[in-house]
Amino acid sequence: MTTVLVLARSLRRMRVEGILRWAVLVVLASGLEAAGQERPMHWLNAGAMPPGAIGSLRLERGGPLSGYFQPVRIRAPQGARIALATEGGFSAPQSSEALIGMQVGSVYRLKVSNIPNGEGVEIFPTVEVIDRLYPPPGLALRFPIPIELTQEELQLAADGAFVTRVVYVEDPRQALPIARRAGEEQPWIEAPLGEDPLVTADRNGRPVAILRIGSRVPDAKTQAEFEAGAPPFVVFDRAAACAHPAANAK
Amino acid sequence: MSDTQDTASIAFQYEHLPIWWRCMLVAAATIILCSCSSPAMRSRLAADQSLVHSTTDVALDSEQDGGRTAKAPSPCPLPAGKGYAGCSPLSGSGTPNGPMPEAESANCEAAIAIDPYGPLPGPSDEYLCDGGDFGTPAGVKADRTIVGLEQEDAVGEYTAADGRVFVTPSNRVCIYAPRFAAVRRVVQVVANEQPVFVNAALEATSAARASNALPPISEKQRQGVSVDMGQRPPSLFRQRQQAGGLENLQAAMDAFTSLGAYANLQIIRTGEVSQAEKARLERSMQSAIALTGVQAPQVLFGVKMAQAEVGVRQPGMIYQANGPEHPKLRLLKLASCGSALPGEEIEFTLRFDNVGDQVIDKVTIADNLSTRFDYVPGSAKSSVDADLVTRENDEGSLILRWEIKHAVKPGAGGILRFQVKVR
Repeated sequence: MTTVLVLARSLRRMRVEGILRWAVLVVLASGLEAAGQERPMHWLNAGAMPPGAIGSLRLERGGPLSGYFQPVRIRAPQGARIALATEGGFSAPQSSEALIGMQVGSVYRLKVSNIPNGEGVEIFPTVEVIDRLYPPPGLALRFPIPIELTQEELQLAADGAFVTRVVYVEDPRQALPIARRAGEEQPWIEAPLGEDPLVTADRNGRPVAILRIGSRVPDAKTQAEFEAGAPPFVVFDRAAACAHPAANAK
Repeated sequence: MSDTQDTASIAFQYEHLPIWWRCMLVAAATIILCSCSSPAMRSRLAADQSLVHSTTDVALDSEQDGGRTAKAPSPCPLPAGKGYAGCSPLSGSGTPNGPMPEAESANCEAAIAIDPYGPLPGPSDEYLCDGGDFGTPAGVKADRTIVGLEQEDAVGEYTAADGRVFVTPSNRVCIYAPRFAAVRRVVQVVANEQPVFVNAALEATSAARASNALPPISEKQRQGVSVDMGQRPPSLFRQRQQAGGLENLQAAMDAFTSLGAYANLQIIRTGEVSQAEKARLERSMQSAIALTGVQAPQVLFGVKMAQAEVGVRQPGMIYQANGPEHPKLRLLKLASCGSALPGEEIEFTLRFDNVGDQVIDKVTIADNLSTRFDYVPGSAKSSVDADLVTRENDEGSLILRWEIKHAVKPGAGGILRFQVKVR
């Protein structure tokens, strides 16, 4: 009788063990299949974050960023004037193209005036540099981050729209084989519906700057807030930026 | 009694998992854990690029402007009648932040040191690289077709006297040429109207706004036009084929005497390493050494293991096979510029040498250009008799393939040159 009981118990254990083995195999197989799928990504930053937030988070990640003035080439339509916000208002208006050294993480407010076909209209875009470039020594001014203020987008902002433009460095392995000339208008794509422009830029390369156009004209109440916290910048001589784009373009 | 003991032992055996089952579990867990490691990406190469000395920095002569701004002096005056001053004469380097060459320093005397951190290795997305053999190792099929030649790869293949086929990658050349693009989002501000109107009115307002926003969106089609502009008609490629025939008629002297300053080195002209040129070739050698560990150039042909020889005496990569005879091919690549803006042209020079002790035959040099390199038709030159064949790769650029017509004797070599335009 004892022998029968032991055999029956061992048989039950064998069945349970077999079931367990199959269960482990099924779990492993399904796990491998799940591992092969694309994992959902949770993006730390979003294009709708307030100006300065993304750059500040970038500074917290560390790196040789603090204190570095990243050259940024700002280009407005021909005839327009660009001025940068300082503590006492805005700097003297420059020509339609300026080469400015900006710090990562800071928000720089511009004033664009004398816009063609927009007499009396002033637009106040902001530029936020969220990453820097690492050029060889002496070539930093030759390869600035280009910020384009197009006539179309300035007009959109004047009509009440809010334009966000995320500038990124193209990944050479994903770059389209499109011939480009130095100095021509920067190509851009519209962010897909429902997708964050920062996410789109991050997929195509490395976001380095965010341009936001569409700020309201400050009134008497918001004037102080509007001009507060103007970060330091460096104005470079644009004509001396080591090479004019057209100098060697063929 | 004995029956009871046997039954108990069987039961004891089944209470514990068998040894093969435990081993399988351990193996499965190991595989799962090991699968967490990501493959070597291109961006990791940048981290290996060593720091180099900075040039003589010119202090920022800034003058305060209202306490907030500083005006910088002219960083790089352009000499009259010359091209841009940032074009370094020698760039056979995978170390992008290398020291500024002498010529560049001479033209760019007033370079501004705006970076308090000095030259730093950065992400590789700012560089266009060409050369080497990354990703899938290149190989040769029986019909002499090169497989595994991915974008940016440049290899040479040849047949030894005993029939063995070898593949030799060149060193890697990186050029600083970042390209920018943008992603745009236009949002119409209608939120202040939403709580005021009923739904029907809101829809009407939104539709009116949408109609206003539609025209600029439709103008995006200029992107499509630019894509079409980038496509080259096949007729241009045919012309290039014809130009290849004419190039073979060029005397070898032409290629030798018209070498650019960046490639006018003894190792390019004759294949011999000169100690006097060691400093100028330092960047190329650093590149070769730094990249050797990354790409693990262990190539197996037949039953012989090919071993990479990369030392401080010889730039470029040399593969050696153990055997009674030692076929060796050295492939060295140089670029005329260390940086480039879109639209500028760069010349590449490939120097191949038979540094082995036997004649090698059917030497073929193949270069799969990067997406942003546009081959300049008719710019290819060769100091030896070679057929240039071009075909499109999958990325929208070209694969250049030189088939050297004659066998290369020990100590002999040749120079191949071509120009590309940076897209």
